[in-house]
Amino acid sequence: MLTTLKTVLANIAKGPATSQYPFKEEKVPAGFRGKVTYDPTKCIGCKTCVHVCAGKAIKINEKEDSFDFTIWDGTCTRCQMCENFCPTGAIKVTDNYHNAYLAEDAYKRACYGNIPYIHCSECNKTIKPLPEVVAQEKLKGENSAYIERSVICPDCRRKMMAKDLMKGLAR
Amino acid sequence: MLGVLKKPLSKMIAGSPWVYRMNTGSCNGCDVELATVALCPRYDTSRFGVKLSGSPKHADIVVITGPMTIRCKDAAYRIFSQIPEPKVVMTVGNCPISGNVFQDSYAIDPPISKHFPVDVSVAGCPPSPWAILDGFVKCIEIWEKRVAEQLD
Repeated sequence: MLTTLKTVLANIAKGPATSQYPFKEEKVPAGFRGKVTYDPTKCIGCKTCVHVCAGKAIKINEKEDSFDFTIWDGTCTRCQMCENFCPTGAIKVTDNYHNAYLAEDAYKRACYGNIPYIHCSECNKTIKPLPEVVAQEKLKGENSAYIERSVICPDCRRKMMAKDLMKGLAR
Repeated sequence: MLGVLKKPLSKMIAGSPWVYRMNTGSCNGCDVELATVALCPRYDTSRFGVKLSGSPKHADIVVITGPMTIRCKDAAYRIFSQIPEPKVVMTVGNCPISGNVFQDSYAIDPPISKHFPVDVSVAGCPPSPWAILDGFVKCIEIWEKRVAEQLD
């Protein structure tokens, strides 16, 4: 009798085991994979995410003077491969679990970014830009050599490097 | 007489929607999340009066999981036609929305919205129980409106 009473009282003190979710926000466990977000200011358009995406949720559509980036969480499998492989951290898997929506809002949940190309200062060819934030993050400290030639296409860069090398050799 | 009773009646009916679960070729991930997690006492959907029903003829809310395989298409149509009007359709998981990792397969025919009028979608692979709870809450709002329309 006394043990029963003890258990009952202990259970009353413990409170309900049921999650109070729709009335109270729930604490998300560590490592929970929710909705994916995309930061167009960090994207370099390397297409690694398109290659690794299991559910074909990411699409990069290349146009004449810009490229479109779309990620739709209706096809996203939440495998977090895009975040793991993204070299600049433009794609982030958040712990947002509010994933129920009315059917007509389905396409409003896509993350979209339009990134214009820049032109090579030597030959005027279109190249994908490297954002300033990413340059600061990746090339820490002394990077004046890079900053000088940041708007040059790979072909022109190769030529310039070869020229510099030849100059050095001739000396 | 009915005009006065309309509001309380629709509230009362919306208080206990019965759910029929339809698996149209799901991998069982969403079924596990739905039937043994969202409908169990931890995330108690009975708080909103949601109860699993065994027969489609007693159902108010239809919960569909899976990308609709060609094999089960006829059966799914037949079962769906047995559910009395008004009904609310909810899809759980990414497969009914787009086909997910199975998209472009010859054996499936997604999305579900091509076949049935979907009202609420719950995304995720599988979705978290909280998202499924949210989905039920949204469904009940729609269900209440539909019942009120029916009473007119």
